[in-house]
Amino acid sequence: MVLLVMISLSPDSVLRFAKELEMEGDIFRSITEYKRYIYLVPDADSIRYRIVSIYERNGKYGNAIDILREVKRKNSEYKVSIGKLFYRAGYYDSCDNYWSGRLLGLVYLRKGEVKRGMDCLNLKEPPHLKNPAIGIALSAIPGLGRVYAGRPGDGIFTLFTVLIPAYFTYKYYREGSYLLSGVFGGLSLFFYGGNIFGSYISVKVYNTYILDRYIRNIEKWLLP
Amino acid sequence: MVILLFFVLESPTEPTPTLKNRNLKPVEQFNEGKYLALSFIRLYQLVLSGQQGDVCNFEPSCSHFSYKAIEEFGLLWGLLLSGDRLERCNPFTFHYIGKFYRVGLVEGRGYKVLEKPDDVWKYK
Repeated sequence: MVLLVMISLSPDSVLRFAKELEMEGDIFRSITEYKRYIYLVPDADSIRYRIVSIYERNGKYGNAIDILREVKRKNSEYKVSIGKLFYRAGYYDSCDNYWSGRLLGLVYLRKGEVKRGMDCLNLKEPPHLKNPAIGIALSAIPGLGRVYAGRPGDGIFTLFTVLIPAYFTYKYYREGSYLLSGVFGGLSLFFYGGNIFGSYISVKVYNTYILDRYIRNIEKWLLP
Repeated sequence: MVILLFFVLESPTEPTPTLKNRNLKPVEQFNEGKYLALSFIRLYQLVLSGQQGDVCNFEPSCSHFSYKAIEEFGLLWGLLLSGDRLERCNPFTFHYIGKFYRVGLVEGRGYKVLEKPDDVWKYK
């Protein structure tokens, strides 16, 4: 009986069982077994990295960081890994403590410091961002600002929402119905204001999308 | 004399609460325009919205978005946000999913583009 317990609690069998559970997809039970293995073999850093990768795949960055901090050998691999977890969790300021060189370029890009990030990463081609001021200027013609922001459909719709009330304002004014003319004038002004504000916001949303895609492309080769 | 001394010693040392030392929050100024706009939206929701059914592409719907935007950010910004939103709620909305919008399953309404006033406001 004692022999049976000893065999079942031997580190090798615990590790085998943990791997089996992981392969079956029972990841959280496998983590428990990996932790049991670490209890039996405290220096098993490779297993700690394995737990970290499981947590990371499942988006549990906090748990992954807690496990990674227990690693005995805090070498460059440790620094890259923990920085990566902070990066994935969105705590870009914490990455500065662990990363250096080109990896910091990613952090600058995420913080919106495009020029600094590009210098750090030694990149030649900048992301094709658009100028919100141009978006506002173009929105003087209803819908054109949205077309500039990559939303032609919204631009066409905006043109109609501004022009139709504007037409009725003119029509009722000519007919002498000043109340109706005022109502449609207000409506036209409301949509025109929305058009200017929306063009500015649309350009910013477009820039966020383009920058995010640009960074994701860099992450593919820099952050496996 | 003893009784007088007793009253003097037993008198409360803390100042009695007055209007000045009480921790009162300033009363928000009543904004007629804001409440008029909110009333119009509520009236629309009660009378008209039910007649046309669920036609909005977004969650929350444009009227709820406008109501919340005006309530949170005031009349001017609320109206600008509402105008922008109404112009974007069109048949082309679904062309921009995955690019500028994200979609979610809303209980009782099916798949809708998810966008709260704060999601737009953060780009301001």
